[in-house]
Amino acid sequence: MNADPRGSQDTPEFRDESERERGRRAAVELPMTAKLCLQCLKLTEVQGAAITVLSSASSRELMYATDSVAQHLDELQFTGGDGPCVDAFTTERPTFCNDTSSDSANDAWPGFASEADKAGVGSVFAFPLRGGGDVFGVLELYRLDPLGLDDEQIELGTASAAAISMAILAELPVTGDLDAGLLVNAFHRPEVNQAVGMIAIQLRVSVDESLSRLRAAAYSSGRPIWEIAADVVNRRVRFTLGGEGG
Amino acid sequence: MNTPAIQLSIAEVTHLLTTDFDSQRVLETIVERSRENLSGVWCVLVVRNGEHGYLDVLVESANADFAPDRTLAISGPAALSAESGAVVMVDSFGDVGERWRKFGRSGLERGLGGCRCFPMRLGRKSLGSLVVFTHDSWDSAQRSNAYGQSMADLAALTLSTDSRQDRHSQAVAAVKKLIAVRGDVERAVGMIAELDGISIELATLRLAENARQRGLSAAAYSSLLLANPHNR
Repeated sequence: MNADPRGSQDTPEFRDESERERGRRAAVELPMTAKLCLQCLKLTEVQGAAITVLSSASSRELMYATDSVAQHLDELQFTGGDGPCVDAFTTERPTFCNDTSSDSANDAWPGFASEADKAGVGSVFAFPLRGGGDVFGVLELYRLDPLGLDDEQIELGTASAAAISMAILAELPVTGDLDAGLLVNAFHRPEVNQAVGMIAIQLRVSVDESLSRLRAAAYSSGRPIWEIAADVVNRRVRFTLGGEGG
Repeated sequence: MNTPAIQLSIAEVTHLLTTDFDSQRVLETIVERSRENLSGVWCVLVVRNGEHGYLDVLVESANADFAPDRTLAISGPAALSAESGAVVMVDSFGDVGERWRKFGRSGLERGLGGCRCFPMRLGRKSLGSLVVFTHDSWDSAQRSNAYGQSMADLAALTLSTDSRQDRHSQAVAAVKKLIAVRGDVERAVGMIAELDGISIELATLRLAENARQRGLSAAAYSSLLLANPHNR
């Protein structure tokens, strides 16, 4: 993560070459979606955006991110299980956090708000993505400043979410053998689900409980959930009934 | 150039796409707004009709006192743009190279000064082109190429999308299933790796083989495993 992005209104870059490569691949896989997303940044005057598709509140895929901060915000919400993106999906309404350092934000999203604030993000805005009357994802925008969207920007964000919904449904390869689960996207990290399966066996718990344990380990260590997952998959770490061990 | 009028016209069109929209109405809105916001005299949307090099005029918007000659919209720069998927720019019909000399002369005779052709693309497929003709040369006024391309992109989306709710519902259901299935399969792979003490790669192969032996899909077998890990 950049040391202190506050004060800079430039869109932060990806941290390293592997993340930049993911961003490039995502833009190639979903060109119209990526283009509409970048257009949305200009229209709403925010610094970055991410697009996540969800089948449930805990089963999600990051499909596109403009930079590492946007990617990090998405991972924070997956790790903590709370945040504007989660609420936008479950309530099916736009959800805004106008100041991540405020008491109201910390009350609403205790796991997310303070971590977003530490990352230098001042405000976050989540718009549900809809198709056929159903919400299937979220467009998430952020600003480095704690500044809410004005009425026109909210309208433009809503319109952008509508266009992005159509674009991503048109661009995702959803034909073919759905039972093979062969959706491939640049930001996908299979090791997270694989680790959940391994931990479920190690601790003799359900996969839901296993995910909770993985999240807790990531949160307490301050490391991204996918890094802990990679340690599990590569057998550098093993979960035991007494706690995470080596 | 990102004036409020331009922002609002993009929002207007995308809003239309969220409704149970009539494609014709959306496309007519696109050509009308494009003509207005790019200070054109004629804006026309042409589509490829499946045969190499042939285009059809789909919708158009022209100034009240302008009589379009549609041959200009289905040949020359418009045809190149639609075929190649590239932006084609002819700034001034009075100052063109050999390639567009005849086309430029025809345009001048009809009171036109320049044009821009914005390709309508979806993925790698080129659907046609959004063509804007101006009275004077293109660069005699501030005209946003980014805006023109945005409107062409929205036209491409309109053409490629069925507005019926059930088509969208099917696509959403398929996306959600893919996410859920992939998650189940990956979790099941993790379980096999841990139970059998093997690598993720070998566990992936073993899952596929076990599913095949049982006559099940990877998804169905994974669901069984997640419900009872020892049932493999």
